[in-house]
Amino acid sequence: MASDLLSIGSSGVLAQQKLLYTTGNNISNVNTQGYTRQRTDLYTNTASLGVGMSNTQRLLNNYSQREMWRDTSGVQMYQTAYQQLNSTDQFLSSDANSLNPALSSYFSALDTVNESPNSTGTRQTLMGAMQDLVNRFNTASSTLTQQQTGINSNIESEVKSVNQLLGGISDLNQQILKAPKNSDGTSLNLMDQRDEMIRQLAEKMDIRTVAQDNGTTLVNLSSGESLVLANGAASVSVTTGDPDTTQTGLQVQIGSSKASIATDNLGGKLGGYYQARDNLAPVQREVGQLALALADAMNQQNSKGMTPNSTLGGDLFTLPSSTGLPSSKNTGTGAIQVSVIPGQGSNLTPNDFQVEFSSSTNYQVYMMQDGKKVSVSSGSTPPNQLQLSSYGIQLDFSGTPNAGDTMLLQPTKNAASGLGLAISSTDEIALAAPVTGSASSSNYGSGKISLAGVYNTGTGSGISSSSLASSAPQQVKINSSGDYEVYDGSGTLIGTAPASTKGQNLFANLLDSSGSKVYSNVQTTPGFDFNVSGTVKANDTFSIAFNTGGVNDNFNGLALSGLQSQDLVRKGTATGSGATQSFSEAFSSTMASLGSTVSGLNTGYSAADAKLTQSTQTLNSESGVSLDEEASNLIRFQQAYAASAQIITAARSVFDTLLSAAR
Amino acid sequence: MRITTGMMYDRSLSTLMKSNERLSKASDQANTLQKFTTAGEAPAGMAQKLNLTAEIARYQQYASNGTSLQGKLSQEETVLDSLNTAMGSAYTKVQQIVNGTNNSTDDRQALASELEELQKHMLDLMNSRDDAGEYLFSGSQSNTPAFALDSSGQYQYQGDSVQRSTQVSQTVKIASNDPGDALFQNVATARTASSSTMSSISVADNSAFSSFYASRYDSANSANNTFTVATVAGSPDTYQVKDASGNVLQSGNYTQGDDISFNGLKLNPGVSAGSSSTFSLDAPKSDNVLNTLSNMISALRDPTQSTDQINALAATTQIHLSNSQNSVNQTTGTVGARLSSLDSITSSNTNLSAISQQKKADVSEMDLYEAITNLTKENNALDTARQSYALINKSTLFDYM
Repeated sequence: MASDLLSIGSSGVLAQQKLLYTTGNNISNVNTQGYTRQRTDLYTNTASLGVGMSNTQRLLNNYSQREMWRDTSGVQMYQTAYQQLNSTDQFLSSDANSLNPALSSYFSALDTVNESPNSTGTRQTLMGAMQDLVNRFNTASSTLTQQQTGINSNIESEVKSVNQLLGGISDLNQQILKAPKNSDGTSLNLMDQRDEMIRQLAEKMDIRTVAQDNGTTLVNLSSGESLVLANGAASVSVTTGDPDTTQTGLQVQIGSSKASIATDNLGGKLGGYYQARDNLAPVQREVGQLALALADAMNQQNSKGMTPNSTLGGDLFTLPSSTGLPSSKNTGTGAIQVSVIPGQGSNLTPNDFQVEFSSSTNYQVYMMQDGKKVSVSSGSTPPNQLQLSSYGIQLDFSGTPNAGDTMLLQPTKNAASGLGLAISSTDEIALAAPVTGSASSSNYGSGKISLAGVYNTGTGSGISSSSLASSAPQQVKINSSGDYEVYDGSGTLIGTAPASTKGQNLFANLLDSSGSKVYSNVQTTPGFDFNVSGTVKANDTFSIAFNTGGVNDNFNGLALSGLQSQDLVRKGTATGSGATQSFSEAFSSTMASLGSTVSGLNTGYSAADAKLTQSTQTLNSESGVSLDEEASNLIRFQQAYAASAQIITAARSVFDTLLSAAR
Repeated sequence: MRITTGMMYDRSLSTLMKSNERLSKASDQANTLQKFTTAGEAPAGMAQKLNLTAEIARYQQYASNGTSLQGKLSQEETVLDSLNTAMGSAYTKVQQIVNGTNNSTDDRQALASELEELQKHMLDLMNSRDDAGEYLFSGSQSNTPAFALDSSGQYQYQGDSVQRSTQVSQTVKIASNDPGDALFQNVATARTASSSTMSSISVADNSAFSSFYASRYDSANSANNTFTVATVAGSPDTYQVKDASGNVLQSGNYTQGDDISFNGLKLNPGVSAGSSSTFSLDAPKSDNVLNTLSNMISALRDPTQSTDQINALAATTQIHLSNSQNSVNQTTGTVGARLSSLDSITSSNTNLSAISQQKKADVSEMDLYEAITNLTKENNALDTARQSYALINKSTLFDYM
């Protein structure tokens, strides 16, 4: 036996020292981020007596750790998306920025003007309310744009730190490979550092890890792309959106091979940013759709009225048009301008469109709906204009496209920021009806004539800018059978409305001598209609004229204000009855859908956070430092150390005794 | 489960933070008394709140429209009332002539001056303006006075026939003005008959003639408005009044030169028995009362006018006055009807608005007591969390070593 008491004692002292080092390391790292509790196991000496080898290891459950990383990605994803969308929600929910209060005060001002159409003061108030409405649309849209720009720059800075982390993880993997095994635990600290970096990477995106036998860890994206490999790291970069440059994407590059990354299920902060951006786009398009539908309806109605200057009204708002975005792969020079077909604002949908050219003249139009392409039309140029009236837009083609070229059309995306006020004077608000009727003072009957409606003042209508066309109905005369004869400006009989109509909607019921309708559609020609009510007698006459000087009329003003309760905004791509909603309902439903996204994210965040807390606790329960435990260990190891030291003392006294015995 | 030092701090801290967050929300709710401020907190609630807010704003607008409409209609009612009084007193003044009590030149002059004052008063009322300076009775041409003298000395209506409306509820519009043409200008004057063959024809009894005119006048076929007085020589001479189809309407003895009374008309064919003559009903005419009064006034000031002429004119003037008065009174009636329907719509709006306010409160507003209770509860929870933090993290084993 080659063992002696001294070496037994010294092996014990050294071993207890090691235990004390480990305990000390644990105590001092109690607050270190990512630190894993270490434990030193001692083994008996197999060759002789005394303590043999010691092994220091991390107390870690790999499964819990991976779960914690996954949950970290989830929490970060929900939190980031929630924070981004919640700020939009707060912005649009506040009374100072919400569109509904501006809509209400606009229509209130309109109603007040209708009470005194000839007052400049109330007209000024109305114009102020219009400007405020325009400003709110502009602000809402530009805030949404800014937010998306902000998200894009956040994505870029996140991608920078992702690359740093990837490099760091790869470096640490190399150091771990080189570090001596079974030493004082230095390599264990390296692993802790690496794992902390992986956790930080999990904050940015959802990842999967593969632990190698040599102590290194490989990292993949949850969708499979390699990020950290055995011999190096990939780099992630932001790619410019195509054709919409603001829709940036991600790609991963290893050596010279590149692959783009799907951003819709990325997880982590990056995934949160992409989710927020994907949710902001429809909000912005819906706000744009509302702006266009409102402005178009107002413009149409204003053009059916007469201004205080006794001329027909024009546009109240300017509707922006947008330019189709060409794909970067396009080789031709084709370009498309998209604008709203006047009067078709209620057919607009909050969708983007794509045009694909199969040759320089043939094209196919698709609507982008829930990420899918739905074919809506096809055609060829010339003509250089395509009207998609079921979607309210018209496309103006120019240039020469090549086969395979594509264009992205965004009729609504930036519409709300391009909305403007078209009028510069309160005199351009057309509150009066452009035509008026009156009973002749020599009438024997007591009938009254009243305007039934003005439907069209443009092409086909009998109303020109400040007068009635001579071909338009200008006189109604009751004949001996009580029928209503209608004459034009030169006194020629246009047709007769039978007495059975009781004078209601005269022109719609006008029959010619052969008994067929004179006006197939009064909505177009003559574009207006009159009612004669009350008792009429033969030879009573009623004249119809341009309402020159009718400054105190509010016929069209009431129609303008009536748009408030009309359903003029399409619900998505719905068709048929009930497919449209009022302006304020449209904004409410936009807010409701944004709100439910935000609320869903908040719920998701709470759930993910609870899950992370739980998995962190499971992990910490095993890997965390307990000071109480370490205190007790400290006492225990101290005592063992002292005892081992006593063995050396005993060995010495034994040796001394032996020496003195031999003396 | 093994509890580590970090876990103890983390757990206590997360409890504290959650309590803080809940307290902050409870305090927000108590301060604003709103259940939510963003759509994310209550998506459906926010949509409802937005819709209800818009609805309440509309009701408020209807209420303010109604107030302004009430002012306008009340003003119109007052003006029409004064006009009614003025027309009534003009009628009475003219009656003095018919009664024959005042028929000297001086009296005529005095009466003319009185009528002139009344006429000015009526013109003033017809050209009334509202608080914004708009002429009430000019239709939409409210920059122009309703009535003005033209170059030939006639009062002419200068407005149009536009009747404005006010939106007082989602579906109801109430007319807010009455244009002067139907109200004042197109008022039927006394009906007349004329003849090119008789030696004289005049209206002796206006009311009898008016009802005859109303039953016989044919605006479609003017031939039906011509009547024939055929005389037959005999002993005695007789006459027959026949309509255009030859039906005998009246017959009797005829003496050349004597008047025949026929439905309020005084006919003097002036022909010898055996001949016939014709007369016809004149087409209906209408005018404003101002011109009729002008005619009356200038006749009264004309010394060449005989008492009979003055009396005949007075009679037709009275008819037009009372027609005008009728038109004014009818309009007063419709204005009153509009005011009363406005009243009922306003009160129904108030009720509907109250219901919407209540709904909005239910959806989005916090009950004060509930809010305060919540606040207290959350505050206590935070206190407890703090105490437990202090208790749990007070000491470690090291303190005892």
